[in-house]
Formats: sequence, C-alpha cells, structure tokens
Amino acid sequence: MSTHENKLCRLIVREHFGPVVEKVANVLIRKGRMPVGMIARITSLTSKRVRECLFVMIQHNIAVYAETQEKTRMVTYYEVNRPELLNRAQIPKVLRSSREWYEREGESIAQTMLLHGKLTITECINDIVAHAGYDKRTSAQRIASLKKSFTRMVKEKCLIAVRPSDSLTATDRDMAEEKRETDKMTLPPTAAEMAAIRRTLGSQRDQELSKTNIVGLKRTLDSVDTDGGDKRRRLDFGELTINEEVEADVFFKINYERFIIRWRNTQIAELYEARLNPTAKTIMNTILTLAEERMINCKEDLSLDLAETLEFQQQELGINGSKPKTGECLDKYIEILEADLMQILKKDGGRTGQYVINLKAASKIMKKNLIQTVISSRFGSPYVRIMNMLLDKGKLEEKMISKFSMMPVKDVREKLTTLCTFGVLNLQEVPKSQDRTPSRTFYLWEVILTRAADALVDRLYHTMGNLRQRRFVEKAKRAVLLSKCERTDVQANDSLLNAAEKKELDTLSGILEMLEVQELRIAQVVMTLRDF
Amino acid sequence: MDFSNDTEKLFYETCLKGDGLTTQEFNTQYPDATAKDMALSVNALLTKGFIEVFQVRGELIYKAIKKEESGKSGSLMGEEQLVYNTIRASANEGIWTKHLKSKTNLHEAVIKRCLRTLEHKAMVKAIKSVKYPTRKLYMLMELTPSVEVTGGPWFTDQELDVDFVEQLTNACYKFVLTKSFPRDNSCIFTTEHTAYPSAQMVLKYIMDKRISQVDLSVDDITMLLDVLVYDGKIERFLNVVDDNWDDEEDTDTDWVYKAVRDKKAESAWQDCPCGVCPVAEFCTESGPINPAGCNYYAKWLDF
Repeated sequence: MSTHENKLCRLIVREHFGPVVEKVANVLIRKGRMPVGMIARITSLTSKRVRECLFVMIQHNIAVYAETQEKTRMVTYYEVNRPELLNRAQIPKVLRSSREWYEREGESIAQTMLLHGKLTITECINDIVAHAGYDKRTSAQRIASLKKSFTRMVKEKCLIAVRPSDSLTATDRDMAEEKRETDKMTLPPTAAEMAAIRRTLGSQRDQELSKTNIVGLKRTLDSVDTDGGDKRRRLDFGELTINEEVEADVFFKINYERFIIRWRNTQIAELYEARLNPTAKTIMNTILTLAEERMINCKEDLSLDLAETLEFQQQELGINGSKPKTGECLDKYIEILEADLMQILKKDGGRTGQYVINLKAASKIMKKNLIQTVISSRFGSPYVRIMNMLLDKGKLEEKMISKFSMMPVKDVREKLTTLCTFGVLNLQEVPKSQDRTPSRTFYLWEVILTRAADALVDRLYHTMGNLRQRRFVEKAKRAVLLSKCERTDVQANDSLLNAAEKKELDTLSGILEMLEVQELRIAQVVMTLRDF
Repeated sequence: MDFSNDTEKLFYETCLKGDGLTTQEFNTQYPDATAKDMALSVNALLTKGFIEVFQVRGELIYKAIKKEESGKSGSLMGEEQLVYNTIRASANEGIWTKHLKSKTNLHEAVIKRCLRTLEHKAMVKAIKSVKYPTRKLYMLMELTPSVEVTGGPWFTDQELDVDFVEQLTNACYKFVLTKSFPRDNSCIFTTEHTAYPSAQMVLKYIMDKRISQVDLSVDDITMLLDVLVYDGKIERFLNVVDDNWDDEEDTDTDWVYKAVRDKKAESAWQDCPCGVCPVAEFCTESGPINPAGCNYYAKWLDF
C-alpha cells in the first residue's frame, strides 16, 4: 500500500467514476475502513452524497462493507476492494479477450457488464438490444445468440454469480465464520482448538471453490418424456442432452480472475515458443486449455492431473507433418516438452500416462524472465549475470561473486550497490565477533524473487499513475476543443471544425493512444509480477 | 664437495640416505665417532650449507642438502644463507617480507640488505600476488609462480583481463550455439539427441582453433561456461547416460551445455520515459518534478 499504489487507485476511480467518487475513494484508500459519518466529515460532502458514491462503488464491486455492533446500534464500515479496483486497469484487455473467445456477442456482454457493474442475464441482454435498435426479427435472433454466449461465459467462469457474501470483506467473512464456531463452545478456545477450527474452515472453503457445479447455472434434461429407463445410459448414447440455462434472477459480474488465469496460460505456452518452436506452443496451449477448467486461482502450485487425451489436426504439427504420423510426432513433442529444462510439464509420479503442470515453477520462471529483461535493458547484461548467480547459489560474498562472475571486485561492488538500491538485492550481515565491526563482518548478498517483484511492482504503479495523470493533463490542455467537439451541431457536421482544430484532434488521439497502450503494457507486466 | 675429514663425509652420506638423522642414531650406527668430532663436523657441514637442522619435539634432526641444491646457498654466508633457505622453503608460493622477518628472527634492515644482495646475484626475484596486491613476495629465480599467486590464466599484470575473458566467452558461446540446434532453424532436436558439447569438447575446440595463446584447463573453461549460464545464454544439464555407465568415471564430464534461443529482450517499462527516468525518485503528483510538466514526456509524445 504505497503512495504510488494509492495514487493509481485514485486516478482509476477519477477516470471511471468522476471527481466526487474520487474524493470518497481517496479517503477510504488512504485511511482504511470507516463509516459514512466519518467520510462525510473528512470530505466535507453531505452524507447523502457520500452514500450515493458508496452505492456506485458497491455496485461496481470496488467497495465492500462490514457491520458491527457498537453498544446499542449497528455501525457499517466501508472499505475499498483494492484488487478489484486495480484489475480495472485491465479493462481494455478484458474486452479484447472476450471478443477473441466469444466473438462480437462476448464483447458486447462484457462491455455492458462493465458499464453496470452487475446485471442479470435479461437485464444485460435487454440493455444491449435496446442500444443497438434492431427491428423485431433480427433482435430475436440476436437475443438467442447473446443468450448462448452469456451461458457459455458463465459456464467457463468468465462471468461469475454475485452472492450477498461478496459485498463483505474476505477477512470479515472468515472472522464471522470463526465466531460462529467459537460461540458453540462453553470455554474460550485454546490455541490448538483455534488452529483446528481454522483448518476445517479453510478446507471447507477449498471444497466450495473446487465444486464443479456453478452458481447461477441450472442443468435440465432436454426431453421430458417419462418412460424412465437408465438415464445415465441414455445420456451416454446421446439420446438425451443436458441443457444448461442461466438463472434469470441471479446477478453476474466479470470474473477477472478467470481472465488472468487464461492470460497466464497463454504466457506459459509462449515460453515454449521462445525456447522451442511454434508447434510446441500450440501443444502446450491445448494441454493448458484442457487443464484450465479446473484451475481455481492463480496461486495454485500444481494443476490437477491431465489424462493424455490430446488430439491434433495434421497441419498443426508443423509444415512437414506429413512424413511421420501425427501420433508419433505428438509423442515425441510431449517427450521434448517434458525433458525441457524449465520442468513445467511433468509426469505424475503415481499413475501412468498422466501429466501435471507445475504452475508455481512456471510463474517463477516468468517472473524471473521479466525482472531479467528489466534489469538488462536498464543496466546491462553484467547485472543480470550477478542476479542469476545469486538466484542459483543463494547468499554470496562480494569476493566470491567477483570470482564466479569473472569481473574485477571494484566493478562488482558498484553493481551490487546499484542493484540493491533498485530493490533486487538484499544484504545480510554476519558478524564474526560480538563488537560487530565492519571489518570483521561478512556481507552476504542475495536475491529474494518475491521481494524483488514487489519492489518492481511499486515502481510500475508509479509509472502507470504518471501515464494516467499525463493523459488527464493532455485532455485538460485541449478542454475547449473537446467540449466543442461534443456539441451536437459539430458532431452532426464536422466541417464546423477548422483545419488547425482537426490537426490538433489528430495529435491528441495519437498522444492518448500512446499513453493508453503504454499503460496497458505495463499493467500486463504488473499482472505477471503480482497475480501469477 | 670437499669435506675436511672422514667424520664429516660419513655424517653427510648417512644423512643423505635417510629422511632425517639425529646424533643418537648416527652414534648407534658408528659408535667409534667421538662426541667432539661429531659436533665439529656437524658445525662445519652447517656452515658450508651441506646439511640443514630442524627441531622436532626437542630433538635436533639433520637433513642433507643435495649437491646441486647446496651449490648456491653454499656460496652464501650467515644471514644471507638463512634468508635464502627460508625463501626456498616457501617454494612457488613466495614469501612476504613480513613473514620472512618473523620466520628468520632477523632485523628488517638486515633482511633488506640480504634481499638486495640476493637479487643482485639473481638468486631470488620479487613478485606480486593477485590475492594481496600490496604485498611484495619473494621466491627463487628459477621457479614460476603458482596459480594462487598469479590468479591463473585470466590475469595479466595482477589484473583480471576483461577483454580476454570476454573474447573467449564469446568463442565458447558460438561453439555451443552451433551444436545446440539443427541446421534448419525451425526444427528442434528430439530427446534422443545427445551430442551436446561438454566442457572438454569446448576446450578442445578452443585449443584446436588457437583462440587462446595461454594454456587452459577444463576447470578454466568450466568457469567461462558457468558465466555464460549466469548470463542466461546457455544451459547446463546432465546428459542422458547409457545403462552400462560405471560411476567410477569422474562426474565433471557428464555436464553438457546447450544454448538458449535468443529472447527478444524488450521490456515494456523501458519504452516510456519513466522506465529510464533519472529523477523518478523525486517525481510526485504535484511536486516540482511531476508528470504534467515532464520534459521527457514532452519529447516522447512529440510526433
């Protein structure tokens, strides 16, 4: 929660919800959770306006609340949901990906969902159709296809049902559950009992997450004949089909986590493209898609087992795929993927023929690669050498670093301090004697990858905030021109703008594009470092 | 060698046979030599520099110095001889003047004088150590300094030869690269491919192509390859070994190297001014340095 992160959060709120909500959000971001009265006092807004602002933020899932009993009355505390708020920086990418995965319908659904925060299926579809202005027949077709896409997005968890518990903070929810358990006891719980309670609650939560049925999705059998018989058998023969339908009264929101999982999977596949070839990437992508359905969040260590049920088209396996048979070729490729030194794809020890993906190793490699490229383009390759060596060997002294890296000690010393101030290295002192004199102390350097990533993320937040601020500045500079463009008569007839104004508009759109694209690229880097 | 009497000769020759001799042992072998004779001859031999004396657990042990070795120290007298012998004992490691002083128990001025004469006679030489650049070490003229002192092939004039190292590392990388991928760039080797180069093969290539004028060992090449591994240019792994592999073989040779495909090292962050900004630490939203009036941005967005 650095100042840079706070600034970025605030600027996102300003862009998406305007200056008044920004005021309220700013207080919550900087000072933590508080009730309405307090916010109103600090912001000097009326409490009605504060409530309105909080309503907007809750509607868009960026605020959560908690109720507590204080003496005789209930007090509601409001808090900002930081991860959800920072995810809003990824919105352009979300839109693009939904277009890629679910075509035009997916994009309009995602756009409408983001515009309204949370919606039911009928509200969402009606909104899209109303804005498009179709005649009756085409709109019926459109509704059908939108419904289909919506169901698919829910099924693939890109949209997720909103439950009442979602508007509470996660810690509050956990604490309430714990309290319910401890209230059952007559005596205050011991530490061991407390730990046991936490464990059972934790495993319950995990079970909840890994459940296969999706909230808000009804499964019905297609035909309703009543002649009984073995349903399972008939399902297998394809006489019956399961029909899945989204419940009409459930609200949904965009599930950023699922998007991030998919983006991560593509990035893992891309690792193989760089190391091996495009075919390896295709295969890895297919493997990851098979595993994706059962991934819950990005912090899992291993994927679940994958059976070897891959099927490929002939032409996917490279240009001269005609010579060896597809099956043989695939076997070889999987062998190569498994033997690769990144060791992401591994055979499951217990059973035969099953593979697991080591997601933790993959995310570590991606983070390492990213930090490496940053270091090498900012400082140069000798710095990368030092970093890699320390990652490999753990803690080392200056002299040893100089010896292994084959660089003179005085150069190494300078590089070490540079990297340390950048936040990649950590220094550990080991005194030889009690008096801790510097001359009788070992100074050991090491790289802690997670800490290095955190340090870098903070710098990146700074940059993202700067880019966003600059965007506002560029717009504000041309405020008069922009307001002229928004006039209805100008919008109808653009000859009302003179040549200089048109040129200025072009420059502005160029600048804005540059700044936006850059911020999005950095948001992607942040995602790799923070969420993977 | 000239001996003034038979006892001297006898004593020297007995010394030469064994690995050290005490007067008692000599006495049991030759009971007819008197104590006085023996003392005189030992003294004479010592002054001539034919034998050395050591003290082991309170006993004096004499050791013969071979004829060819004694030639030089024999021609020296007293302190000079002592200094010379101490320097000789340090062999190819060399000895620091301070250590020389504490070992010989001589005054600094005396040692300085001795060293000057010894250097003048071209019997010892002064060298510099890589480990302790400020120390002046002395060793016999005819010896070559050990690796510890010179720092191995990577050092010239007590300094790491960065250019030489870089040149050789590049050569190693190029060699490994050619062996890592099939000719056709879009293809890859299957897992059965085992012809990845080991450090020994790289060394052979370097020596055959005469890339280095200096003699290199496998360890030296391994060091270079390790550097390449840390640079992220190559990878090290154990080669697949066949079934009839016996573990008596030295394990060093089993490591083989493979080049990594060149990654496009582009970082999104460095593409905008903030990624390379020298004053980013001072940049705040509304401070004297801020993104609104930033000159770097103005330059970047000027098109």
